[in-house]
Amino acid sequence: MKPTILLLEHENGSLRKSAYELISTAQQVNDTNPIFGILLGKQASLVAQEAVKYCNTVYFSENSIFEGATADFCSKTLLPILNNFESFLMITTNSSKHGSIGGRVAIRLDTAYSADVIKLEKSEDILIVTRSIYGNKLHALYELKDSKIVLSLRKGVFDTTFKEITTGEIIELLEIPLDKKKTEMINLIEEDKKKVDLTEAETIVSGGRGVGGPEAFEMLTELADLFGGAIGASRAAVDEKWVSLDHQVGQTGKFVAPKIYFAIGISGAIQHLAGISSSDIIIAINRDSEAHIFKIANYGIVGDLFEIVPELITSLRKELNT
Amino acid sequence: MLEDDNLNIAVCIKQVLDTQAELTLINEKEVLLSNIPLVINPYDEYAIEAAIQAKEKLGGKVVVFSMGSDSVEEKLRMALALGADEAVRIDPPAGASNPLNTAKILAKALSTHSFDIILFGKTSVDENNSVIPSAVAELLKYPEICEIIECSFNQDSLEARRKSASITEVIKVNYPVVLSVEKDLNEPRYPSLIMIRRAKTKPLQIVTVEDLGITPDELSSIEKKNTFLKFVTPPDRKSGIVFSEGSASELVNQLVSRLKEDKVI
Repeated sequence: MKPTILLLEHENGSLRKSAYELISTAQQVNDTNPIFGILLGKQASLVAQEAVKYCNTVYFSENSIFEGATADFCSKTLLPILNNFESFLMITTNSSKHGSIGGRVAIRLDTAYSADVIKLEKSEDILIVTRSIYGNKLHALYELKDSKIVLSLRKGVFDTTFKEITTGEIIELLEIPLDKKKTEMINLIEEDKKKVDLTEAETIVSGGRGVGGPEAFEMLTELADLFGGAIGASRAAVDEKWVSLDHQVGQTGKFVAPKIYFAIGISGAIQHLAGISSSDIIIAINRDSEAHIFKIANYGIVGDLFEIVPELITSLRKELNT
Repeated sequence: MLEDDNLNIAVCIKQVLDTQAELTLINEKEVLLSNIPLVINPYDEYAIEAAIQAKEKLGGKVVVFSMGSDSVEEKLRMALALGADEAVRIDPPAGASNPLNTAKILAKALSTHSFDIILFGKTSVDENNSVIPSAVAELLKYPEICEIIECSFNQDSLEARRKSASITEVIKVNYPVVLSVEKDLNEPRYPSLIMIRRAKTKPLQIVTVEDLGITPDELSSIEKKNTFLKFVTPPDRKSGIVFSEGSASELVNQLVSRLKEDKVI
């Protein structure tokens, strides 16, 4: 019997999509074993009310010291709790902070560890994990065998089908090692809360070199807004500084897995395709019929994007309103 | 030895397969690697630049580390040509491929100096583990700020910016610290001919895990818990339907009616 411990991401008083991916995975892989959820930071007690529907026990702390806290401090807070377990499967999302916390725990407790996992299978007491490597040109399978295992899951590739349970309890973490904090949070700058995270977006509209300049992204944003989606970009568009780096999709940007991915004016370099191959449907618009993107797109339109996209917006606006 | 007020800076880099390369499997456990160019992991170039900028501002020394075979020395010379002062190549032990082992070995090598700042790229584009900076920091008991997008180095502390979902965090830390860097942190320079020539005479040391006092047993326990089984080729995406005949509105109509049929919209 190996309990599952989940480090859950939350924002603005709600669990993030990545948290539901962890919960679903835990329920599927480790179904008969208790699930422990951990919530740190602003409004954690509120989020705990939600998380406890799916976890047997939820630990939380909303001590403001966790705002902008770095992984070293968070892992020091969690180690005493983790030390209470003789065995566990700890799962985090592969975000930079939670991935780092998991990595620190793994090397400190000398556990089996695998990062950025895209698939998880269990047989008896052995876990088989799949990792996507070399920009998704290969998948590598590993067997993890240990009493304690730490994993991080790639965002967006796991489903979110989970069931509610009714017996959970909520426990507040009170022993925070305040004197162990080595970094000082100087400022937190909140951005537009409406902005959709690329790795969680159900629809992404991406622009590449073919869009010709920053102005075209206004048109792409209009298209994305119809779906409540996010704006992505190829490396070319980011290198030209038409949009900021956090929009970059691909091997040196973000790996995404939306339901619909619009690739607009993107020729389809191998590094870009690496980042989008987990999308359900790829729709490409490009004026070059030979563009590589058409080889992997489910649907493509060959034409001038400055004519096609406005038509598409008009047409979809009608469809989505009815 | 350095003066106390000079910064001691380390950069850890990795050699990776060129991201352009197509990969072929020899068998389910081996990739055909011959003829694939090896390059410095793209994120590490920003780490090297950050180290050199810190040294230029505050004085001190930059030591660049990499674990890898002989061919890594060329990459280390490149870092020396860019402005690093010394290089260390760690000869990789046979049969130790787990990133936590890499972290153990690097931490041991780094602990022989007392570095104020240890820089990494945020991830390596080949294996995408992103864990080595945190694991090294944990072993050295350093704090770490990951995926920084801006950084200002001062004599005893630094201030860095990082993004966490929709929030930008500005964090101050006193040295020592581990940093992992995002790609638009700076604009990496090109080496000058003089610097390339000078790099040839800069010290490049080769160490083995035995030199570092690490026993094979220390490494094998992790490998036994996490065994590589095989590679598989990800399922191919097939090309779909491409609409190319008609006016813009006709093309859009064709697409939209297919999306409706598929219940995408």
